[in-house]
Amino acid sequence: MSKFKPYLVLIGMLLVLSIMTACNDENGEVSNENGGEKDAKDIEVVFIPKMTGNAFFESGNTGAQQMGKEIGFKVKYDGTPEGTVANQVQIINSAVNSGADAIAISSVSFDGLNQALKKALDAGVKVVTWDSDVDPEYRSFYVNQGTPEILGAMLVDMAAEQMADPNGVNQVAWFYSSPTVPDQNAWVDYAEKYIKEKYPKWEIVTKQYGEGNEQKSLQIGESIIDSYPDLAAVIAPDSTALPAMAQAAENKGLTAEDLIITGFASPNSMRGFIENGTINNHGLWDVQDQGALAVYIAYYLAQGNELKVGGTLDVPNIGEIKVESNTVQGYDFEADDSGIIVLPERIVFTKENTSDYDF
Amino acid sequence: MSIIEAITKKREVRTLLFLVLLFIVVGFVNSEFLSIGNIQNSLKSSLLYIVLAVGLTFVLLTGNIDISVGGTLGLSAAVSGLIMKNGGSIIFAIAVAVLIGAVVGLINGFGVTKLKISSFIMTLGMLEITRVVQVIYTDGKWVENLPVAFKKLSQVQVGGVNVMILMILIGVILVHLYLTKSNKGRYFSAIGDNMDGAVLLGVPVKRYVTYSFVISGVCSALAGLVFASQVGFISTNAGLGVEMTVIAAAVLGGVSLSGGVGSVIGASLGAIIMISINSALVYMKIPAFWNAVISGALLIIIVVIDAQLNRRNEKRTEKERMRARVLQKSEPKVPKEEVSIVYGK
Repeated sequence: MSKFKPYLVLIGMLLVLSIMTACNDENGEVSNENGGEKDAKDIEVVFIPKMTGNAFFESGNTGAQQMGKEIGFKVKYDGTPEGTVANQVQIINSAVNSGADAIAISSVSFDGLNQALKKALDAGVKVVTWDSDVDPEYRSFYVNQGTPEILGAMLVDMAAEQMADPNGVNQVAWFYSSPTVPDQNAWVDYAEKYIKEKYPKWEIVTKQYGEGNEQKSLQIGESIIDSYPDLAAVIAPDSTALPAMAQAAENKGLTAEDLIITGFASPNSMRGFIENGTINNHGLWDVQDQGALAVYIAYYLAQGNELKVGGTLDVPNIGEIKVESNTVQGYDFEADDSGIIVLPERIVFTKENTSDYDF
Repeated sequence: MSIIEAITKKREVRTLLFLVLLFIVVGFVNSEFLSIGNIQNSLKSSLLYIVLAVGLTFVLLTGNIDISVGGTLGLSAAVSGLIMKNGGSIIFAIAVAVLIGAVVGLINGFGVTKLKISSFIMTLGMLEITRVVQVIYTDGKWVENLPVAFKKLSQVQVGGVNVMILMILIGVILVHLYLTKSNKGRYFSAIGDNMDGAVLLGVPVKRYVTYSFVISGVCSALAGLVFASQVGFISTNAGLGVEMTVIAAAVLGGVSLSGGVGSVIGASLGAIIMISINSALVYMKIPAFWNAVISGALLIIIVVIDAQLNRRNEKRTEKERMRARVLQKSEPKVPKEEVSIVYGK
């Protein structure tokens, strides 16, 4: 046995003490008067990204801050570089404790935040999600980039408009991140339904997955080109698969004339390929608009206003938005004050407009 | 001894046989897979894993492990990518990448030899650190649209053969010769084989263990450059999980995880197998849903068959050795059971 070390005991006690106070903090009193109209400048919305530093979320914040400045409410950007459930729970708790009126969050987990969000709702904090949703019972509205139906049809149309004969027999390949990713799979499912109705002669030859790994995506992209010499189009609704697929085509000396490549990725990652003619178009939504809309809805609710499924709202700079039922996203949970707000528009990037965006 | 046994006795040859077998089997399903174009593609895709496997082999030979390779790869690729994007020269970017790799390797080596931290923990820590440093340095942004001149480096061809493939294959052969033929090169496996023995023989163990980590770091940085040149963009997750693929490749190629055994040629062949499986599955037109299952199963099958072949070979040599000993003795009366006890099997 080693000697008795009093300072170790002291450290241990301090640790226990700090943990206990930390627990107390979480149960701390939060009393927000949410009745009646509030002045814009008294309202604070906490805007939470999946992770900080990432260009996509930083752009979302740019839009959110602009909206806050314009209307006159406070937008606090709070996140961590690593997108984990634990970090987001901590951020939600500190937002509640600091007396925020509403949070707008892009969640890293569908149900991992339930407890923390419930606590926030109980304390009278309004909860809005954007980009990535949580269980609809634990938030009021989800600012959605597009329902699977909209995004699926958009993918197909971006490819079809480049084909010499979109109604003829065309071989098409899907290429995205993984067989288990929920959003991309939902888009592709709807897209396939849409193809069956609108372009019944198309043949889907393969579905490949790049696992979000650049090198593997590049290799699979090259293999797709070699294995299917009669391929008309590759549709890659994934931020890694699309640039990798374009790089594979560029390596093989193919241009948009030889093989149509389209999908979803940020304009910054695809600009080079659009400019040198490897691809003609690709799409995404305007994440700045999404951030702006998310904080506006949060602010609107925090003011004490009500928003109901089926209703509409005129949002400054964005236009009229419509609140739809949770069922458009395939959820079972339905309530009057819980719904989905779909961004009014999405963007197709081409040679003409790609340099107008920076994200 | 039959010819087959003679061939299968050498570990690298066995790995090569598996590789050839893989290509032939897939070639039956889709003959396109055997085209020169695809073989070259598979090699090209494997290059960065070959470079990583060569570096890792040095570390594995000394009985240590380096998990930080993916982090070093990402960091050096991102830093050199940003330098080039901001107008820096390609040569300067390459030099910086190599320097980063060497520094990370040096820290790893220092931690393992001086601070006596287990190499697994030390390099795992460095993996996390390099990843975060990459995120901080790039501000969490992807490094995109690298200069075309740099991307072209991985596509240069002479007489229909990719120059980068040639350079790396020649490099592997030179390293193999260094490790097997030169005295100092053999220090690495001597350390892993029997560290106390190596100390007694006067091998500067600590210095060579540190060297092995530096070599692995530099190789990771070079792999990062190959990666950046081939892929053309570097995400914040570049190189995520490559350490597992590379370790599997090395083991597949006969490098022992407990040190002392293995060659860079074997590890490189292992890397080609690991990577070719990916494109093989596309060529076989199997629904990609099954890819991970199939590549995992193939990996196990190959290692099991290899272990079986190895065991048979060992048994045979053991029997021969035994027979020889028995003949030397004047009284060949030793009962069979006893022999098996004496000789361990």
